[in-house]
Amino acid sequence: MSGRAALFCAYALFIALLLGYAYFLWRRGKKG
Amino acid sequence: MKTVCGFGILAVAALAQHLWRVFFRTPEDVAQGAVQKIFYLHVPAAILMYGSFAVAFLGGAGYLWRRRPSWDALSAAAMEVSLFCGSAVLLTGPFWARAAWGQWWIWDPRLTLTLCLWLILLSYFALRRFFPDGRRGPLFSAVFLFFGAAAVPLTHFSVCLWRGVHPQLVGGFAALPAEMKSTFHSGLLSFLALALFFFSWSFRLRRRARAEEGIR
Repeated sequence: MSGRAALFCAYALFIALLLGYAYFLWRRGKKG
Repeated sequence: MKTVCGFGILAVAALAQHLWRVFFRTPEDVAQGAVQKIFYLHVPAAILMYGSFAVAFLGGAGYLWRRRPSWDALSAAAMEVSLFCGSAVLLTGPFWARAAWGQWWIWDPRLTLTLCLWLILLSYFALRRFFPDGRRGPLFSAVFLFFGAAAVPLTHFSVCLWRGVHPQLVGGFAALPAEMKSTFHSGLLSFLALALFFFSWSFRLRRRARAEEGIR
C-alpha cells in the first residue's frame, strides 16, 4: 500500500467512524 | 440543546479547516512522505482518548463521593468520547504501519496496551448493560474506572518503560518545523471541539433518559 493511499484510507475511515457515532447519538435521541 | 448545536458547528468548522490544512497546506515529511500526515489525526485522537478517560475518572470519583446521577452521566459520556477517540487511534494507526513497516499490526508494547485500553473502554459499557437498574450499574462502573484508569499512564509511558518499535518524537513537539507544529495544534483543537460536541450531546441524552426514568 502506498503512503498516499494509506493516508486517504485512514482519513476516510475516520470520517465514517465520526458519522457513525453521530448517527448512533441521533438514533438514541429519537428513541428517547 | 443550544450548547450542543454550538459545539457541533464549532467542531465541523474546526475539522474542515484541519483537513484543508493537512491536505493542502502542510508539506510532506522528507523521510516518510505523505503517510506521515496520518499523525495529525492519530496523535490528537490519542491525547483526547487519555483526556476523556481522565474526565470519566473524575466523574466516577464524584459519583462515589456524592452518589449523584449527574456525575455518573458525566462519567459515561466521557467514556463514550474516549471510546470514539480510541477507535480512531486503532483505525488510523494500522494504515501508517502498513505503509511504513509493511505490516498492519505488530505486538509492540504500546500497540498492545492501546488495544487493552480500548477493550477496557468497551468492557465499561458491557458492565453498564449488565446492570440495567439505576443504582448498581453506576456504582460498579465507577469502581471499575478506578482500576481501569491504571491502563492510561501505563499505555502512555510504555514507550519509555519497554523498548518497542512505536515511533516517538525526538526532542518533543517543540522540535517540529513551524508548519507541522501549527497543523498538529489545529488537529488538537479540532479534536477538542469534536470531543466537546459529542460529550455535550451524550451527556444531555443521558440526563434526559435519567429524568424520564424518574417520571416513570
